[in-house]
Amino acid sequence: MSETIVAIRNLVHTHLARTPMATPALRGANLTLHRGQIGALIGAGGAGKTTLVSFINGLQRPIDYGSVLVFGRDLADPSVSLEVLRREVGLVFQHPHHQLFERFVGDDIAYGPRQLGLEGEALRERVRQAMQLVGLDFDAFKDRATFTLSGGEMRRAALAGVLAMRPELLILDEATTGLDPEGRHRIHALLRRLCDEQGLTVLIVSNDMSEVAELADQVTVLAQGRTVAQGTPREVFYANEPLEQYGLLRPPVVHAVERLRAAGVAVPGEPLTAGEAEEAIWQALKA
Amino acid sequence: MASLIRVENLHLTYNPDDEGAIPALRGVSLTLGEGEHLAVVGRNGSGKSTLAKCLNALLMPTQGNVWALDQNTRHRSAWIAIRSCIGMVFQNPDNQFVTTSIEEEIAFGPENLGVPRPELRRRVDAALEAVTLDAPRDRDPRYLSAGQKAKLAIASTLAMEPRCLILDEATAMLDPVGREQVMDTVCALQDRGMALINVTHFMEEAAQADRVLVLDQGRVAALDAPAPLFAQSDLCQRAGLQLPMPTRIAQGLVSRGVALPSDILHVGGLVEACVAYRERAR
Repeated sequence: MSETIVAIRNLVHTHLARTPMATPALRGANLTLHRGQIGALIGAGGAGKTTLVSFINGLQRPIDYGSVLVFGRDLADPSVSLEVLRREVGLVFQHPHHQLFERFVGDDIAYGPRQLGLEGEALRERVRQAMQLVGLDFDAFKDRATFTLSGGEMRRAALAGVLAMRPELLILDEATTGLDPEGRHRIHALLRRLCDEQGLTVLIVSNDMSEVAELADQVTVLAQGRTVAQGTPREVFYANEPLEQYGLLRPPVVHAVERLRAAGVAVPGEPLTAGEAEEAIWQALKA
Repeated sequence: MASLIRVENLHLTYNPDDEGAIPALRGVSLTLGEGEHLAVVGRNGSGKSTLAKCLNALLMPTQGNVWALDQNTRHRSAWIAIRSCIGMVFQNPDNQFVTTSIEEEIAFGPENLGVPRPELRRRVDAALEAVTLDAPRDRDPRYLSAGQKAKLAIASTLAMEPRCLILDEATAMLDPVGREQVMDTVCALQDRGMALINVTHFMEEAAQADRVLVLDQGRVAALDAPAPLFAQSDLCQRAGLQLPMPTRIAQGLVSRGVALPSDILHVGGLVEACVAYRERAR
C-alpha cells in the first residue's frame, strides 16, 4: 500500500465548546487517504463534512479527542507548524467569493505563489499554467475584475489560485458545485491526471453522488459526525445496508439499475456510470 | 394563461462604458405565464443569473424591456411591488441573511410588509414545514450547514408567498435528499398556482419543467418542452448541456439497435420502456 497521506481516528469535536451554544459536530470520525488517491466525503447536510476537512489543513487543531495525522505529522502536537501545513494542503471552499479578494483575476491567482517567493516571469508563468489547467484563458481573464465573473468562472479562478500553490493534498469542498458539465469534466480529468502523474492526493466533499461514483477511488460516509461506512464507490453504493438511513441517496444510475431489477430486467454487474449502465442494460435486454 | 413576466429583446452589458465590455445578454425575449414552471439552463457565463436578476428588477436592461406584473422594471416606483411578488433565492444564501435566528429570518420579509402577528406565525410555520429544516428555531443562521442555509433562504422567500419563485442554483448546495425535498416542495407550490423559474445545471430538474430555456452566450438557443428539447442532441451539445441520465442511456441503447421511444426523461420512463421492449422481444 502506498504512503498514507491522511489518517483521522475517532475524532471528536464540539462547536462553541464550553458555551451555552455548544453543539457536537464530530462524534467519532475516521478517514484514511493514500497518496495518489481521490477520496470522497459524503453525508447529509449538517453531518460534519466541512468541519472534518477543516482539521486536515490545520484550520483547527484536534483538542477534544481523537487524532489527525497529515503527511505522518500529528496535528495535536503544538510543535507541528500549521503554516507549513497550509502551504502543502490546498483547500477550495464551498463559496468561491470567500476565497477571491483581489480586484483582478490574475492578481488573485498570483497571491499564493507570491507568498511562496515567486516573482517576475516565474510568477507569471505559474499563474498562466494554473489558469490553463482550469480552462480560464490567461489573456482573456487575467485583467478581468473578479466581481464580474460568473459563478462558474469564480469557481475556476478559486481553484486556479489553489493549484498555483502546487499543493500535495487538495481538498475541494463542494468545489465543482455550479460548474457546467464541460467545466466539471475538465476538472475531473485534471484531478485524475495530477493524481496519476504527479502523486497529488485529493479529497472531494460532494453532494453529487454521480460525481462521487464517477470520480472517487474511495468513499467515506459521515452521518451525525460519525464515520458509518468506508469503501470503494461500488462497495458503498451497492451495499445491502441502504444509504437512505443516513439521509443520503444512491447515485441516480444505481437507483435506475435497482428499479430495472425490481421490474424483472436482470441487469448484470454493478454499473456506476451512465455508460456502464447502458452496456449492462443492453446485455440484459439482448439475453 | 395570463402573462406574469414579459421580456422583450433584452440586452444587458455590465459596465457598458468600459472598453471591450462583453454583453451578458444579447436579445432575449420570453413570456412567462401565471403558474408556469420554467427551467433556465446553459454554460457558466451564458447569462442565466443575469437574466434572473433582470426579472425582479435587480438589474436594468441596457436595451429592451422587462415587464413584471405588467409593470416595466425600469420604473423605480414598481420595484417594491415586483420584488415582493417575485421572490429570488441565490446560490450563496449568506448574502441574504439579516437576523440572528431562523424564526426571525423567515419572519423578516413579511413583517416588513406589515403582515399581522397571527398571520406571520402561520407563514413562518408553513415555510419551515415546506422546506423541512432540521434545526432549532432559535439557531443563528451563521451556524447552519451550507444545505441548511439554502433551505432557510428558500423558506424566507416562501414566507413572502410570492407569485413567482426564482431559484438561482439554490439547490446546488443541498444533499440529494434535501434537493429532492425542496424540488418536491416548490413543485407542489407550483401546482397550487405559483410560477417557478429554476436556474440549474441538473438536467433531471430541468426535465420536470413545463419549458426549458437554453441560453448560449447571452442568446436564446432554444425554448421548448423538455422532451422535444432533449431529443435534439446536437443542439444540446452545442449549448454545452448534458442530457438527463435516463435520456442518455436510452439514446445509447437506441444507437445499439434497441427500439425505445425517443422521449424518455425519467428513470420511471426508462424502466417502463425496457420492460415493454423485453415483452415484445419474447
